[in-house]
Amino acid sequence: MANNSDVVKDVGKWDWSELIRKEDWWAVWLGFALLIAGALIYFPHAGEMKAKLEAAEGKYMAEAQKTDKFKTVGWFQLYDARKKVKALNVPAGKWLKKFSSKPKKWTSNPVDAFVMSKEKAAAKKAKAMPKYEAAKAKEKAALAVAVAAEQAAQAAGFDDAGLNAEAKAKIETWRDTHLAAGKAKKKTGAKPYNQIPWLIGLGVAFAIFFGIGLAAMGKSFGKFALGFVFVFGVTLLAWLAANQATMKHYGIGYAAWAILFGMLISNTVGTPKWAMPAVQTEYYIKTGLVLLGAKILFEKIIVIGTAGIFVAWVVTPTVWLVTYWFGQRVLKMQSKRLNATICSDMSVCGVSAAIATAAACKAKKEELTLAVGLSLVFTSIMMIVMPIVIKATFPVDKQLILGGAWMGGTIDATGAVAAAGAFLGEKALFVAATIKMIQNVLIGVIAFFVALYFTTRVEVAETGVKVGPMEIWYRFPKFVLGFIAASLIFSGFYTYFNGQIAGLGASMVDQGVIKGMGDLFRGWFFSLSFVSIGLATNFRELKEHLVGGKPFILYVCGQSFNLMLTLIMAYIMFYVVFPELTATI
Amino acid sequence: MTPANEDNAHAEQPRRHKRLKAWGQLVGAFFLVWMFGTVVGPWLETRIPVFNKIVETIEKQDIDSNAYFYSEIKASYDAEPYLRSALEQGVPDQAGWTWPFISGIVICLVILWLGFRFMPVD
Repeated sequence: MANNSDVVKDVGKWDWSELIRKEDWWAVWLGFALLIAGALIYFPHAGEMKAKLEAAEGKYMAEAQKTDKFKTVGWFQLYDARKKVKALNVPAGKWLKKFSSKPKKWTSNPVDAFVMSKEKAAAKKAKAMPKYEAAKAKEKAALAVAVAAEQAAQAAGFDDAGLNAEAKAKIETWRDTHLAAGKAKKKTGAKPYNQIPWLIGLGVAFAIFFGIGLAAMGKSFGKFALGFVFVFGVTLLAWLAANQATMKHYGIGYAAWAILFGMLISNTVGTPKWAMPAVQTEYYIKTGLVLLGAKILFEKIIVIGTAGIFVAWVVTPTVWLVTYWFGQRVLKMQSKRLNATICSDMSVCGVSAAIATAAACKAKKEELTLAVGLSLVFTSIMMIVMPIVIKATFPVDKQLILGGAWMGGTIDATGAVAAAGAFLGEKALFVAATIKMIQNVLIGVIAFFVALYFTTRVEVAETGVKVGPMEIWYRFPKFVLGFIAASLIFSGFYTYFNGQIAGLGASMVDQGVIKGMGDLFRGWFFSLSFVSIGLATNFRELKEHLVGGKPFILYVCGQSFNLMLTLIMAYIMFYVVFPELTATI
Repeated sequence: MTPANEDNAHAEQPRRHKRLKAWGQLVGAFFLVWMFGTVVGPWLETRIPVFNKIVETIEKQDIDSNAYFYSEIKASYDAEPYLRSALEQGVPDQAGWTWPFISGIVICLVILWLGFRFMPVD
């Protein structure tokens, strides 16, 4: 058994002083401090954003609603105009983005991740410009053709099926060229940068940010700050590896590198003793989870209608429970916490779900490491294999929607879902990404149930003592409350803004507080926690959990069941029960 | 050299050797990572069927295939308004908070409650 410090937990008797002495509460305070700061920066711009959205509606709405036979040029122009309205584009948002920026993408020279000279940026821009000009010209020509086809269909009162189909096809061609022009334009925006001073500043800010809480908890600020230099350095290395082009292709993200580099150091030269005060896995993870809570916006689950909710919200808990039962009753897994963490990362959404579940059920660090490792390996494999299988075996008319839903419901990581979906086509990408997004929202519900199940049932069975409501309160991981509170509060804001005008919720919450504040720091906090896990993990401890290959068998059996059930449910929902809904996508 | 110093010198040698070995392992591991990123990985991309096309898509569409959450993917934000307004316009009776939709949420919660109640704890 690992000692107490190896467990992601918080158990204690209630005392009001806990509010400033306990790590769970500090995670809530720090997480909310950032979210409130985000709200204060972005929400005052709501009027400005609303005016922009109203202007877009005024310009394109009539054209967008001309017919319901197909999506008109005006419909897409309104869609594009709404997407451009983002609160994070205000000056403070741009500064925050620069301040919290991670090392950039690079291919063979790691210096490119930190520095790009004026000359190099200019050369990149010059290289991208002709491609952009060509793509822009192509788009302009395609738009003219699409407008002409639409006008022809309109002249026939949108009653001629042939002209409607012709217009729809021309508009789709224009959208493809529009997408290509957009990507080409992005490459012309190369600017020189020097990340090094910003990264130093960020490291100092994080040391102060987390150090304040630790000092209040009675730990030495100085020792933490010194150790943090090391932990932050390894975190930077993890981001450097994750942003290397090949690693991106294989979908090997920061979590894998952070754990691997931490473990390599701790199991070879050893983690320096002076760095240990900054190895604060739970503290970083819980703060990151409170930020994650703000992204769990309940209104998002309606995006793809009933079909989507059944694929993402009915299949997922079914797979979770069946796999958990299988692990306990058939495989007889020793650790219920490892079982639960693997169930979440396999059935919900990989690393994020594993983190939330591990913290909610107080899993050991090695258990979280193992679950994350399994998820990463299978994600890479499924990202490559699933599109091949879909292309080879699915009827052509079902590849995009059914294939997209199947991948969205089963591939663990969102990035891999997007890559595999995009390979099939834009509609598959949209369906896959949306199903995954709805599953992401389920993390909050699952984490709450897991915390409740482990606190009120598993821990009671383990200790053999029946507990009352107060004891449950003592034991309940408090950061889960912060996580859920953040989700409910920001879901409320999202719905409130959307109630004013369509798209305002996305502009203010998604493209404001979340992307302009929470997301900028959450990735850093999770990577700091993964580095801490690696720095405190011994290969031998990890090996203990691998005996008999049970975690592997559990993952494979659970994922096989997930693949089967998701496919059946997606087919029934999208093609048997709601075919009209599918036809509109 | 006193006998005590001599003993210390003898003990120092294997310790230094162990230390060098540990640093060798660490540097070696980082070297392997480097080799995968710059040599083996790119070579393998061209050998796995269809993978090179997926890589092409990732590069062309600038997809962050390392992302762990929906908010890290641009496609999630592109898809949301697209699907939402497509459904609202095309099948308004099936968009939003319809009864079948709410039943999906209720079923999810019932499944979780059953699990909470009846999952094994022994």
